[in-house]
Amino acid sequence: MGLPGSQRNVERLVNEHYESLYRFAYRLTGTTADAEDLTQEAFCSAQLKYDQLRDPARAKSWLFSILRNAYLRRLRSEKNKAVVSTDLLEDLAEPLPDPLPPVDPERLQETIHELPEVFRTLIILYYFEEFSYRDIAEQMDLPVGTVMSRLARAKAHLKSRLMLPDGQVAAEAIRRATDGL
Amino acid sequence: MDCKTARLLFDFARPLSCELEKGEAERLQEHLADCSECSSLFRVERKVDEYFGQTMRTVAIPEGLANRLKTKVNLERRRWYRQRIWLPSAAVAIAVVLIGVFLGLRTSRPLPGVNLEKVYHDNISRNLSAQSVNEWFYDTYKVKTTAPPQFNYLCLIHRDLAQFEGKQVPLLVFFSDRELARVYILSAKDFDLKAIREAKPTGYPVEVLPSNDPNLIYVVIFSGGQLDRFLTRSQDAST
Repeated sequence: MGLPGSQRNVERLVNEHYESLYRFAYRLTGTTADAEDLTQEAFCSAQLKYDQLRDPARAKSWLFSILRNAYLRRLRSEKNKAVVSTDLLEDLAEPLPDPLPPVDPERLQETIHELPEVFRTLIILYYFEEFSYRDIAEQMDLPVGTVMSRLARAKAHLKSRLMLPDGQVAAEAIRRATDGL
Repeated sequence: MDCKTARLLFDFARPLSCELEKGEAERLQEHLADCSECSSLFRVERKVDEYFGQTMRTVAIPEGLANRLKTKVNLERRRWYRQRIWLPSAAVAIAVVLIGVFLGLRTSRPLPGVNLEKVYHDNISRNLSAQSVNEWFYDTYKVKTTAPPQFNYLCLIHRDLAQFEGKQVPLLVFFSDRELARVYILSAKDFDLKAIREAKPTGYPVEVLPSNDPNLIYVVIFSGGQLDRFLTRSQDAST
């Protein structure tokens, strides 16, 4: 590992990307305190690895990747959390109501956190609408096909939980299914 | 384009990150224009994405976050330098100081004393002779030489090796009546003795004296105009 990035370069990274990085961290962790800690950790880590940033145009993708790795390290140190079994994540067969019901931000966050980490990260990156499938696949070190199939299942889960009338019933079913995890 | 292919491409046709090639995107748009079912499904998909995307991105940024982040990374940078650069440098500096102190202690040990009686006998002894000078050169420098026997060794005030025309040769210095004579003992292995003898200048207080040893000559440079004062009486009488 070389010398840390210069103060000027690192501060520029912070200025340009701290908001999107914090939002990503918040969606991953679900709390403001954890999101801020994780964002700090990501920038500190990026500062030490600054010489690895070959293309400044890809700084955002690079930072997201660093943040996700930091998040994964935390997850490994925590006890298993109750998440939806991937078996329950299936493509949605029912049509969505028209017009679509409004999305409650708190319920969205809860629903995201029911997902296993790989699905959760994928869906967050996808909805930030700033990353292509290729970017996401690169960041998560997954084939593009895997990214697409997992995204389809994660989206179906969000739709069924947040947009179908029996979403609450589905939520109960999920809770029962994950009680033993 | 059929409905199945079109629906597969829906997720690649997001407004902010369209990943379809131009021709593919145009064929999808043509299909959507012709197929009301796919068109409706596409609109719903985009609407869902918009709903979830907006909600997902709506996260309030805490007040002062940017400054806290900058403060934290700057602290971390200073900590890094302290641990990786300054502390090791300080350790090296301390090691250098300790080595210096250790060496200083070694070199500041008491210096040896001087045996003045020995110094007197070595330098001023009245018992000096050509023979004792020869022995002194051999004992001191392992140099075999033959000091000129005709000189008065009561007048000898110094003997040592000295530089003479780029070579190190034995030197004897005699002092008498406030005058000095310097005697260089030159060897045939270092100099062309015949050439030196023939090149002896006239009108200068320089003498080239022969030795009993054919491989040696004595070059004498003296002051006072007379070499006799440095020689023994018997030698004096013979010259």
